[in-house]
This record gives sequence, C-alpha cells and structure tokens, in this order.
Amino acid sequence: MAGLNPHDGEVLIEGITIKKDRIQYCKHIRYAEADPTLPAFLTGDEIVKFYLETGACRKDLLDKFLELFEVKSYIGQIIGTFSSGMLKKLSLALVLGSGANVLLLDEPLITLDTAATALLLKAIEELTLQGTTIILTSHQDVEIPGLKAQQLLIENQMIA
Amino acid sequence: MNPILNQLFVKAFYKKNAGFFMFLFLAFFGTMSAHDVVELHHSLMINITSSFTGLIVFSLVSIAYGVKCLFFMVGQAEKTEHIFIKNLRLVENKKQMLLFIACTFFVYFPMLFYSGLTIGVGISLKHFGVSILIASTQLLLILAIAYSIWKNINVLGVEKTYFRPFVIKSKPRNAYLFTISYLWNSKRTNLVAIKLFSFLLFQFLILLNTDNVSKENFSFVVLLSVSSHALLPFFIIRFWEEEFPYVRQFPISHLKRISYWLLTYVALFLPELIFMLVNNPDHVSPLILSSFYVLAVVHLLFFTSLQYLPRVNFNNYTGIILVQFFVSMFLMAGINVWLYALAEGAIALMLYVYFYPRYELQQEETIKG
Repeated sequence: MAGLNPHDGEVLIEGITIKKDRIQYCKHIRYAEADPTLPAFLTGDEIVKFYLETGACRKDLLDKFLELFEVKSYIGQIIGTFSSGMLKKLSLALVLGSGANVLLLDEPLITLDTAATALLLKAIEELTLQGTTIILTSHQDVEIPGLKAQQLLIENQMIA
Repeated sequence: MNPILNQLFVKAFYKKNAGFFMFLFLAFFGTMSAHDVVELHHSLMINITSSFTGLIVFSLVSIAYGVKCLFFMVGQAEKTEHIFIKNLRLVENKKQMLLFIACTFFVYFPMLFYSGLTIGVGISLKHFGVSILIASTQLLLILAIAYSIWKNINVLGVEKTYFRPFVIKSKPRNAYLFTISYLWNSKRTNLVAIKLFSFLLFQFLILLNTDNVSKENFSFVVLLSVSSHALLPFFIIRFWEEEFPYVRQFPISHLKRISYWLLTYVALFLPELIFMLVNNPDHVSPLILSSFYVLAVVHLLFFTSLQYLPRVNFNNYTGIILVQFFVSMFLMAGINVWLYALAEGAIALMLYVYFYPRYELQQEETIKG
C-alpha cells in the first residue's frame, strides 16, 4: 500500500493508483516502520535535507515535529550514534512532517518514552482533526481523548 | 592460544578471501605462459627497485593490502561471538604482541612473499637502499597491524568513527554524495581494491605498450576495469533498498533516482579518465578516451538496472557480468562505441523503469561485504 513492495490489485488514494502515477500517489501516503532503518553513516540533518529536497516532507510541518520531539538537539549527529528512541523520533517526525493525506504508522509507540508518547498521541489527534487519515497498528492500548478512532482488535490472526 | 588465533584470524581470512586470491592469481599469473609470467614480474620488480613511481605504487599496494588485513582482523576481534578474545587482556602485553605479530605475518604473507622476491631482485641489482626501504616498510606495516589489533582488544572506550571528508564537514552532504559516502564508509576495502586493480590495469597497459596503445588493447582493459567495478552496483542497490527503503516512497521521478547512482559512476571513473588523458595523449585520441569513459559509466548503469530483475542474486549476477564482458568485446569490434553506449543506456533505462516497481528484495540472497 505504501509503495515499498510490489502488489497485485489496485489501491486508490484520491483516485490515483501507484501503477498509474507513482509520484502523485507517493505524495499522498507515507509509511513509518516499527523499527526504522536509516543509513548509519549519515547525520540527521543530511537525512532531513534529503527529505526536503525531494519533496518528501513539508518544511513547516517537519520543523514543527522536529521541534516537538526535540530532535533538533541531536540532529547534527551521525545516525549510527543514535539510540533507538532518538531514531524512532526522527523517523516519526519525517513521516508526520510529510504532509501526506494517509499515514501508516506501524507500532509508533515502541521505544518512545512516556513524554514522547504523549506528544505523539497529541500530534496524531491534531493531524486527524485536520483531515489526515492515520492507520495505526499497536500492541499497546492507544487512547486518544477527543478522537473517535475506529479500532480493530486482531486475535489469532482474525479481526475480532 | 596460538591455534585459536590461527583459526580466528588466519584460516578465516584465507577462507573468506579465497575468491579474491583466485581472481588475483588468474589476473596476474593465469593468463600468460610461465616464461612470460616470470618475465613480467621480474620487470615489475626491477621497476619497483629502480624507479620512484614504481616504489610508490608498490608501497601503496602494500598499504592497501595491509589495511585489508587490518580491517578483517579487527572485524573478527569485534564480532560478538568472538568476545572471548578479550580475555587476552589478562596475558602480558609482550606475549600478546608476539601472538598478534605471528598472526599478522601469516595473514600478510602473500605481500611479504612478493616483497621478499622484490628485495632479492633489488639486492642483485645492488639497489641496497631501496631494498632496505622495502624491508623496513613491510616490517613497519606488520608491526602497525599487530599494534592496532592489540589496541583494539586492550584499550576500552574507543568509539567507532565514520569518515566524513573535511571539506564538507561544516554543512550536510548533498544526496548525490550518499552513494559514494556509503561505498567509502561501508565497502571501503572493496572500493580501494577495485580502484587499485583498475589503476594497475591501466598502468600495465601504458608500461607494456609504451609505443603503441591500440584501441583493441585499450577496450580490453576498459572492459576488465568495468567488470571489476561491477561489484559496486550490487552493493549500491542493496544500500538504497535495504538501508534506505523509504526513498521508494519519495515523490521523485525515475530519472532523479537514477541520477543518484549515475553521478557516482561518473565520479568513479574520472580518475581513470584523467590518468589516461595525462599518460596517453598520443596513442588514443581524447575523443576515443571520452567515448570509452561514457561506455564505462553506461555499463555500470546497465549493471545497476540488472539488479532489479527478478531472481538476480550474486551468483547469477557474476555470470551475467562474464557474458556481458565477452558480448561487449564482440560488439565493440564492430560497432561505434558512442552508438553502443547509447543503445546500452536506452536498454538500461527501459529495464529500470519496468522492473523498479516490481522489485522485491530477496534478503536471503544478499551478501554482506
């Protein structure tokens, strides 16, 4: 769905399929992995610069989330020196700051501390209220006050 | 302790590099008659002991091989499953150093053997100064490697550092430099070995054909150099797809994506182009040199596109490179190089555009270099 792997059938976002218009489709959707990987030899700001140059992020939004997660304090360091929490926050900021209409967040809460978790849930609430569709998978109970989210519980590989 | 270290460093080194040594052996000894091999290496040794350039090239090759040995041995010592090696800290330093010198001696032995023969040739020519210099360099290299391993095992708190060229330290690197930075940081040994091999090829071409560098000889050397570089697209695509998979989600065109590798290939072959332009101004015209340069870049672009084909793994990829080498030799004899480059570039682009969206990384078939 996020365009990372080939697939059969069609996924339409805003009436666009990835097979017909990859660039437009990619503008509308973004995926955040549970255990993000980024090149260890690059610095955080090099990654940020790359995302901005390629239009994968909106500068105003990205700045907002980098500040929110306090990523700016270590953005100049090499990613190989990041802890898993630091990497996760950078990765989430890059996805939330993309300005895409549909965000797929795979286990966004793991490796985040309590304060960062609260900030993330608040950000999710804000984005959702602004019209962003967020599909989130989590092993934890995710309670977002003020947000009516549709929750699906998976048990024994079936939607319960 | 000795048998364990021997197993850990020496045996593992030759086991891992069996292909590398086989390749070197075939390249330097397997393609000529015994008489020619002896003559070639004898003249090389004379060159090393008689000319400054020869000595510098030989020293650089020695250092490169030394660095390869060092990286391997340090890598072995740092592996989690080899944590027991840290117990060597309990052994007195002098004994530790002797153990590491012994291991280094055997790992470094191929270079040492060649150096020994070169020193012999130097002494027979009464070039005592150069012979002593070579012997000292080799001895220093062995001591430096052994000391580095000792330091790695005994000195705590040394963080792994990543190389960043000083000129761009102050501001973030451009995305066009990511690929070359990746090669330097993660595949440095391969990159240095490939570049050295490539330069040696061109150096041989100039040395052996001083009066007449024919287009045929030149095209053979170019293709051999490109084939040795063919390992890089394999690593590069694994880097972009494995370590940076999110780039797939970027709203950028195919041409933009391709440009990230293409400019790397343009930069990779620039030293060879400059070398040939400087050393061979009369025999092969700059226009022909440029056409071969473009062809080399396009060849790597083609090899990159091949990575996206279904079921391409390291084994069948090397087969494809071999076939491509002979097909190119055949085609270059009959077709204009520019035309050939254009046609191959078009095929590479078509393959890429068609297979890129259909690509799925086969994790089990990747190799860790």
